[in-house]
Amino acid sequence: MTSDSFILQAMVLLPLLGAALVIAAACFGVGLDFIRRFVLVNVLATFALSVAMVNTYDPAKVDAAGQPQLLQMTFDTPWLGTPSKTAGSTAVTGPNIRFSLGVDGISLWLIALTALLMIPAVLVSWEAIQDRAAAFYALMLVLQAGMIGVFAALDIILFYIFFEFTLIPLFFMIGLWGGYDRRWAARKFFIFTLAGSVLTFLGLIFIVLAHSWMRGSTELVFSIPQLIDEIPLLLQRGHNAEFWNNVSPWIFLALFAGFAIKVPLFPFHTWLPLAHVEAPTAGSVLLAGVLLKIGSYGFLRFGLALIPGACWLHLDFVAILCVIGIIYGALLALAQDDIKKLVAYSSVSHMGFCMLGLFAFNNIGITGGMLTMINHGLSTGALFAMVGMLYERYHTRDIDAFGGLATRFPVMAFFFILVSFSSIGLPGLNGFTGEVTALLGMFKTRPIYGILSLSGIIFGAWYMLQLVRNLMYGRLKEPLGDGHGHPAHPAHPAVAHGAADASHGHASDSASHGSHDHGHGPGSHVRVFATPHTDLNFRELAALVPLVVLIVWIGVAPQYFVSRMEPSIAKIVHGLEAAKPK
Amino acid sequence: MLAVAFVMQPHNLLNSRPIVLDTLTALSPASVLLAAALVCFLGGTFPVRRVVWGPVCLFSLAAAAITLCSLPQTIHASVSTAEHPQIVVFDALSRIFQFVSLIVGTLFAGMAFRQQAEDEAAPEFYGLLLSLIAGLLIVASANDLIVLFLGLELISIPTYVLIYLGRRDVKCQEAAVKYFLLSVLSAAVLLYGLSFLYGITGSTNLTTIRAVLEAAYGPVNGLPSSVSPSKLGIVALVLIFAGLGFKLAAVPFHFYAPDVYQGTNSWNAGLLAVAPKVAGLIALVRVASFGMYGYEGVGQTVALILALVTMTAGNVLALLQTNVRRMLAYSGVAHAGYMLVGIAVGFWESSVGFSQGAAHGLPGGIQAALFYVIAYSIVSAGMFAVLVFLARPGKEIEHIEDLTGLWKSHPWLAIATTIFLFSLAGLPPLPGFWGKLALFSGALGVRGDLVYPNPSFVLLAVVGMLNAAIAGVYYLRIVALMFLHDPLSVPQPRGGRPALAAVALCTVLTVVLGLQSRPLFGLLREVGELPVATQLAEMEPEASALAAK
Repeated sequence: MTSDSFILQAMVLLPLLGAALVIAAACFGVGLDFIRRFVLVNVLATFALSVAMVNTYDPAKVDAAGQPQLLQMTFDTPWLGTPSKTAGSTAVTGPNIRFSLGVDGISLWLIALTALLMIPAVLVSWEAIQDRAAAFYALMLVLQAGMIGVFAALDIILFYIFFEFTLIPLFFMIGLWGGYDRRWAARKFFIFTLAGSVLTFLGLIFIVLAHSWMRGSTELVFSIPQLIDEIPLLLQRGHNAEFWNNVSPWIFLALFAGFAIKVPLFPFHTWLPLAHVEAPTAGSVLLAGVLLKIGSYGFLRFGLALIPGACWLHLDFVAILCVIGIIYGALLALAQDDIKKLVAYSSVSHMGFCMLGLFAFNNIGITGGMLTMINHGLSTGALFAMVGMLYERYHTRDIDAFGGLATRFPVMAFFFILVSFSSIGLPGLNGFTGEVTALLGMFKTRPIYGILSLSGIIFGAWYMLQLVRNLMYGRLKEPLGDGHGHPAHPAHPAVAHGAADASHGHASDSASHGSHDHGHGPGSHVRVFATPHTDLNFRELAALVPLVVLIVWIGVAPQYFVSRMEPSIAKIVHGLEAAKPK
Repeated sequence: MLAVAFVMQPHNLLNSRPIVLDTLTALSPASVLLAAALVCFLGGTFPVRRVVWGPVCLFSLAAAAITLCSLPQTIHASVSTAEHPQIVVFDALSRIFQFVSLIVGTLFAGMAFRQQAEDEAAPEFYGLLLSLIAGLLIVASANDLIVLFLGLELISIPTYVLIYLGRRDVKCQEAAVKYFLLSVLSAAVLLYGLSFLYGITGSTNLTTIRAVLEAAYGPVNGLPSSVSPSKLGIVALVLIFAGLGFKLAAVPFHFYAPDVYQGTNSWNAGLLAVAPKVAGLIALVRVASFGMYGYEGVGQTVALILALVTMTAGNVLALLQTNVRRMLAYSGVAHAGYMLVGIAVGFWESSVGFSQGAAHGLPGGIQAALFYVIAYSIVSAGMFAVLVFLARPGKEIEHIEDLTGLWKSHPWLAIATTIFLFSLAGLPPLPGFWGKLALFSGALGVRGDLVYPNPSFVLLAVVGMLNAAIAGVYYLRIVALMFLHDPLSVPQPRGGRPALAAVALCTVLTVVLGLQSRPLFGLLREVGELPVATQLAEMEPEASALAAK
């Protein structure tokens, strides 16, 4: 444990504390205005901590023995085992499951991404969520704690606990504040992920058991770094290598079940478009931005690092699924007439690139995969946020209903086009650095998959440019009947009444629209706060600017990011090289 | 808290006490309850106001708990040897489960408080509940087949009457008759099995039975014995599994459960979901796992097949239900399947000589099953307490749709229900998750040739976890109905504050056990260590000293 170990603890506990305070405040009837400001401050504080974390992280740090120390800011305390206090030994009775957190160059960026994306997630919900808003924000903060915990966990069981735990808040966020088909979307999302993760659970436990058998000891080791360090050494002993070669393909399949659904890889992606389309904007931002990365992070942390041999064995299997996902996702995106669905299918395509990069098993490929994870989080997060902004103005996401919006909203058009270019992979923006390095890596390992997936980049440009053209250029076309048909309610009364009166306000509001439906599905409407014709307001700009800054930064100078992840990736690649089949 | 205080008790008793006195001391908590039950039965004939019986019941449960805590840990140590076997033991298993039974009793007494305050049969009702809990306490400490059977019957007989008292309509009478007939049949099957066990060993005492079997099948001069288990013993084991399978509601002995749960009221259904399951599991552990030395291979096969069939059938059938109690009945069947996983693993562990899953710091199979049944009992009690609270006289919560929109009308109740359902589904970090972790890591840890994992146990683990995903579907359906839909009608709960207090207590216990399951696992660790009571005398000081630290 080090002096800076408080950072990670605080990043997990602060959102949980915030959630508890939000609930308490709502119980005492504190107004919505105060609650969302408090949530924003909480989220900003966590983000500040994440900046401190990135700055504190030193990729070149060495420990007392001169060994590189990649894991930093570690925090460790026993949880389920009982430490026996006999003569200063560290023996533990019972399963030595620990509450153990830490970051290396890989989790560092994913935690920072989570902390960053929470800011737009809160800001886009500012006006959109009026109904039971305190519960919404509390769930969002709990989700944040879960997401940061997943990436920071150094104990295999703790990882799984956070992994499953993220399902619960998002289930409620989609199911309660989602669109028309939100109930089915929420359940499908939950059940798909649960079905996969139960097998992942068995795989994770089996790694722990197999490690103790190979070691010939009765003690179970749940610590991820210790497993990663010790398993390659144990394989040189006795018949361990043979044993491990026989069981690790099965472990891979067990892990694959959960992580492939989460990513999602091709045949397991059907939950994703539904969940994305029905989720409230903040839910979509976090789902695409962070939760999908848990899948690819799982592959990287447990697949590539722990069972490299089995990964080589399944390289073609995974790569083919990735290529199919890249092309199929892009073609589906091309065919959509709902903007959100288009972005959702584009996620399938982009995550295919990310996984292809990881499964290149070399430095450049994994770096590309990591960058793609971050880039996809930034650009898709920004796209979903902007779709939400458009939806707030017009209550439709139908591409055909729009046209020429650039004349109406020049600022929004600027951001939209910039983010679209980032998603396409225009050189100078972040998408390019990520996807090109990922593909370069794959060209070195299996050129055929690289060549095949190049078509995905072309399709990607096609559907995004088509979207930009339809929305932003041409004659001005605005959806009829909305925005104009429903006079905008002034913001002030509802804000003054606050959360306690939110349901009442909502009821009277929906009564005037004739149907009572608790989301903002087609049957009912949230109140329109920004009048339809205004461009992005300050709050919306504040949501987008941090993302856009990073989009440009990673595009122009990725070295700052790459240098911090490099040593950690090099370590994984080292293991992969050693396990490479002759 | 009490449990901890009670383990930390210094052992301060003289080592020489008459056997009868020791037995009576060990049974004193049950005696307190039975005396209170008699008071209830007799007092019911006098014109006493009905409202007093609830407090009398709670008071006597508290008195039993205090008695239990004040018992010294070494009551039987001096006498319960293979030469002088005791009919009851007071070991870790007995202590933990007497305590759990008292908590369960308190929860169910609390749930019935409001309803019974108006019922004319209140004194009889509480008297029956107290005798039932006394039966549970006796089962928890029984070390003799006769005493064990007595305890099991003391649970069954009050249940027949309680089901009959629950609701006075045709359906309820059908449920009562159905439960009565099948329960009597299963008792006969169990007795038949126990008689075979007596036949091959010549004793009804479990310590003696184990000693006799150990002499027959144990290692000879340090080498494993070549004597294969006798056919009569196998018959005994299978019949015992069948008889106790009824209590556990394991497939194919589960057929009564859905009909009876549906036919009776929520309170009775809850009691049926908890009490027989706890008793059946303890009896199975005492007789089959700890008593029947030499039959591990057969036991493992029987438990494995039963577990596979039970959890799959239970979960798949639960998926099809629309009646809440029927669904919970099938889900209870599925949970019995999970517990049997632990029993199967426990048989394997004792066949290879791990006294308790010590092969890896995880709890052994038996301990995992016992943890699971405790977690299940608390959560199920909470779940049924919610249903009791929401019921009105003559109008139970029947369909899962009756819970629709609960979040709108009772937000905290909906959150508590969600916690229970998620724990049943095994979502972390709730007790159901820790139970499944212990059970399935045990199953994966079974190694046929001590190198590779045993394929049938891996199959068991995979099927078990897939079942957990199936279970997620129907538990989530209720959660979705409660939170994502608008209420169909405004519920007018009549369960009253005591039922609500039971819900709150269960919620607190569930959350605490989820966040910190270490103490309970630590207590259960002692269970497997001492299958034979003889070793206790030397072991006890160290054990209590460790616990004190």
